[in-house]
Amino acid sequence: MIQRPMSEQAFLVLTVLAAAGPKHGYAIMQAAEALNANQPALPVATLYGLLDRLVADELVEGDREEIHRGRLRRYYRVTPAGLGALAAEADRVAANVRAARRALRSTRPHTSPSGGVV
Amino acid sequence: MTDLERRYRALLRVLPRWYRAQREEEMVATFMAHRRDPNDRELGWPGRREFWAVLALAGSTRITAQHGSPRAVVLGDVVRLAALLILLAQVPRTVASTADLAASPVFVLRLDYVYYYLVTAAYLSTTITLIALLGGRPRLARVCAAVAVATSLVAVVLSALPVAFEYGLGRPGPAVALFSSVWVAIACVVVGFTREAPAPPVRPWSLAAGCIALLTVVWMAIRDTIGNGYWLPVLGDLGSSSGWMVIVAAAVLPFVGRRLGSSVGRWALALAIVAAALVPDRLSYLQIARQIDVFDGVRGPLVATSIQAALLATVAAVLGSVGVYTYRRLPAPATGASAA
Repeated sequence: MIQRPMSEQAFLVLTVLAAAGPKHGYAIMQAAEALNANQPALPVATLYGLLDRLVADELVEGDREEIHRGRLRRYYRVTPAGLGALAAEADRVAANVRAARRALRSTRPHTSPSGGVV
Repeated sequence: MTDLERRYRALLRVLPRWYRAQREEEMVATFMAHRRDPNDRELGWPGRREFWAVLALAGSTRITAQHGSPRAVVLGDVVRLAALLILLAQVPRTVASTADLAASPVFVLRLDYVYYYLVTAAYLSTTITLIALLGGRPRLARVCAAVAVATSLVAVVLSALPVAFEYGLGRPGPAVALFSSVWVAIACVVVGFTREAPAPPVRPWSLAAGCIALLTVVWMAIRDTIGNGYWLPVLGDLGSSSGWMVIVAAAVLPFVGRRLGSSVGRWALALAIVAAALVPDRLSYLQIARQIDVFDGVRGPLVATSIQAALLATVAAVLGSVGVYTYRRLPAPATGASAA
């Protein structure tokens, strides 16, 4: 099977969990939205589908359950395998960013009279 | 409970019962925490993005590539297998219609010709979809699948125009029947070949597609030189009667099954889908077969097409029963709430 890069949403969720320890669904949504400032929040169903896959891949695991104002909150934490996957993906993305920056430095773009890059 | 919560819970009913038992309360809590405005809580609706996300989750919990219940994983395999088999069944049509088109180099802007160009484009798109899937390019496959759907729909619309009858296109019914298997295949591609889906094994599927294409080319080369026996229309319809491939596949299933082991149920269900998808085409062709001249007093095309339709329906029923029986023996997902 072809090994595909991690999806951006999975990357965000793992980053959020790695940064701040166990979090419940809504906290993950909020943190991911803050991290990815220009994008709207993940739909709830998308978030739980993603968490299902991450749990099945053993990158994330359940931490504990709480009842908050009469509602169930289930907390999730990133596993050591999840940290490893996140590190590998961060390295891959960082390498791509370095390559893009090198390419941008070497192109020396011309500037149009109106100030735009041509 | 607010109206918004009631509406969201109603939306969540599209999810399987076992999934709701595990996740509903948690999802509702997260959803309601995100919608804090009192007016919104009373008057609001879940929203378009959430609606589509829940529908997608409902699909992925029932039909999945890798994760989920054993039944969902098996259904994922079945859908992908059915997609590949039906796409394979379109290869003779692609070869035949493309070769015929290549043999008539002049482009004619007339309704019947345009219809034929669209049919050819639709079939060609299905075969490129197959090639893209085998080449590990699911995104390209989805684009080609969209082209196949678009061109086939336009062809159906053309055949429904009032003037279409003057050009021999008849009613849209036969066109719908002709494309029904294409649409089933495309639906299976969209549902089955998601981002997580494993790439199909290239060698056996490429070999099968190559052999079918070669056989079609050989048949097209010799069909005009071997006479006009009454049996000829039976075989001459090879391009559109690719349901025979299903019959052959079904016939060899027990032998293949020795190697497939636990996959027999998946093959049976997939072949049942393929056979069922091809039945409308055969039934529709009965109308045409009835009008073809009788050779030596035997209504070859009519008899052959009737047998094909009956065999396909039988294969669909028998293999479908076998597949459903096997599927039901798989462990059902637990419905009790549990921590992820």
